Amino acid sequence: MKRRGGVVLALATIVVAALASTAGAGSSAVTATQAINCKSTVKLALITPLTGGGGFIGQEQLSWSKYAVKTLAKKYGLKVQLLQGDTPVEKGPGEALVVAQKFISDPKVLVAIGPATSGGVASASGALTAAGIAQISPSATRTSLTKGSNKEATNAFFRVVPGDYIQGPTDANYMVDKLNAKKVAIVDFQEPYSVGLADAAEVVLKKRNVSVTRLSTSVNTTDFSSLVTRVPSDAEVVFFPTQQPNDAQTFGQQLLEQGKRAKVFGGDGLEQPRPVQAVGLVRVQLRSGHQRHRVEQGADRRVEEGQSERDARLVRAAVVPRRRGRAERDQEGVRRGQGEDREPEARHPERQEDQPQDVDPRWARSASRRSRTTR
Amino acid sequence: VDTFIQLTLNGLTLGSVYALIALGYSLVYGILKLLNFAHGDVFMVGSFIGFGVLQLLGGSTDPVVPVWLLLVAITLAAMAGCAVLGVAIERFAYRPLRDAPRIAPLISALGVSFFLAYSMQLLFGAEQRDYDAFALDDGALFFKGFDIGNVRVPLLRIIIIVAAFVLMVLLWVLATRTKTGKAMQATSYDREAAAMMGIDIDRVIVFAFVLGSALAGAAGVLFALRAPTFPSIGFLAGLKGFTAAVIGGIGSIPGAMAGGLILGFAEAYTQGYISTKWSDLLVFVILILFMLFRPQGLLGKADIRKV
Repeated sequence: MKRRGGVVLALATIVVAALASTAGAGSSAVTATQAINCKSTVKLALITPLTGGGGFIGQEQLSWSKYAVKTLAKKYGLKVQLLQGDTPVEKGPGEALVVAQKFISDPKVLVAIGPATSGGVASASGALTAAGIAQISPSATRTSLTKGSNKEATNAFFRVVPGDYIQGPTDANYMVDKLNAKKVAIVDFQEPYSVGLADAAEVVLKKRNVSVTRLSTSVNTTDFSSLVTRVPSDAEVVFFPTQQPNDAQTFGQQLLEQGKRAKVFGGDGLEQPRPVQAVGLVRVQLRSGHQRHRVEQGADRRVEEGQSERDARLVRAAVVPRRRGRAERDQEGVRRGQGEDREPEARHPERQEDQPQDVDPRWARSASRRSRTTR
Repeated sequence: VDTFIQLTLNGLTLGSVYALIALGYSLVYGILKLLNFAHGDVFMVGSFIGFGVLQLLGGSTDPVVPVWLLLVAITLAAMAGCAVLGVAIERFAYRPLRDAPRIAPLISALGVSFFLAYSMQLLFGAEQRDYDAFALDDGALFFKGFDIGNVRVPLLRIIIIVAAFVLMVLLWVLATRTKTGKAMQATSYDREAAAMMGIDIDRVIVFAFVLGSALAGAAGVLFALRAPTFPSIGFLAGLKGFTAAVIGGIGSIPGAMAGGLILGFAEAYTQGYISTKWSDLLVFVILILFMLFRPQGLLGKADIRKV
């Protein structure tokens, strides 16, 4: 899942603008049910899990949405009010529809940011579209929402995150072509996001004659040691499509602890503005499927260990995820030269976008330190 | 063989943390016959207190005190904080309901559980917190240690296992060799009779909560040294601790230890030999089997007073 509320909102705002220009006439994607007067306040509805086990996703989307409203609304001369709809994952995908009903009854709601989960989109898309509310999801990646004969979402559904049909093959090809993987362990977390992505990647990997070990664990697992024990010691890569960057870090550390040298490779769920301390010979490769040539490299630093052959090297790297993805680039035309959207990056002064591959270890260390203090 | 040793090690680490949680359940159940469902969330609060103190002491990258002192400090802080929390929970959520039907404090316990989980989420956000023990001493806790066969036993695991067992032994001594411990036992046999013998029941109950919650706090820190923590972690941790307590025989202190270890091993071996997918399933199948064939648990005694 991608947490890119700012982008979403930028898009949402554009849709609002589009609606305004074609008000009453109906647009290609959305059947506008009534004329919208942009002089008065327009409302955007965020539909995402704000509490419960998935709360970390929703809270991040909420923060970025607020940020976008604050910075973009004035720029486009709009009065925007952000409404929040909480769909805890524990309540199931149907909750998105319940929340959607509330927004449907409010004629000033133009666009829904979300639903965040693919299941939520499938359940609420029809009702929202019928009410003339477009949906833009920052994180729903399920392929069947927009592809195939039985699309689960309506035509007024958009997403700013590449679906599994893009991410899976891109990730798989990357593992084969760039990481030279012959043996890959794939981990899923028994929830729709990771299973979908893992399945999509597995198909392509097998097609390319990579030997695949499929592992699966509960999404609540935080100690991965027994999973790590099952990772073949000659596997080059572990595909770990988690939504929790910290889990990837823990997994990497536990791999090292057991002397395994596979690289940990994640999907878009690992993208976050905060740097991750990558460890080990494992380089936590933070990148999403579509950001093909943008793997960040950490700097290696050897730890004197001496005796045994399986002693690991330690990378304390400031591995820095990039935030700019395709969806963002697609809007380049609209937003070119406007500095505001870069502002969140200024909050992370430690980010080095083009860190050279061979970095002085001392630099890497101090970078990682700085990142700690800014947390 | 290496795999077996590694899995045993994994199970031992997990199991000793489960055992610490289970002890809290057993202590309180033994005395009050109350399933303290808020216990898992006390565990969660403990891990957060540890995280807070860790940050106060400079974080894992730049600790201002030596590593051993840091570990002791965060553990003690979490234990103290959780003890206070446990007393507060007892005072405000359970004591007013002590003479109510048994379902009332149970519901109150669930309420406290949600209250703790969601107020932590409100205060500190839902994202995961990582102690980043890996950064301590440049990964020494993960890489130093001794070898069994080809399997490295890292320092951090040794610390966790040893700390857990030391705490368990301390509790065992406290419960069997001291006056207060004997008062606790007496209260668990028959609360009214104990009161008539001059035992201050309120004090004993508060003491049980102090002990149980302090153990949960320690467990929280020990667990979070290896894995990130977050506000909703308490539910699952509590469930595992409760399962361990039931398997071992709820109310029995050695039972809780045994139950915790069984659970840890069961999880590790299932994940290692059968399937990573079915480990939780197996754990709860074990629970159901125990419920069916030995409801008093491994080391518990059958409750004949109900017959």
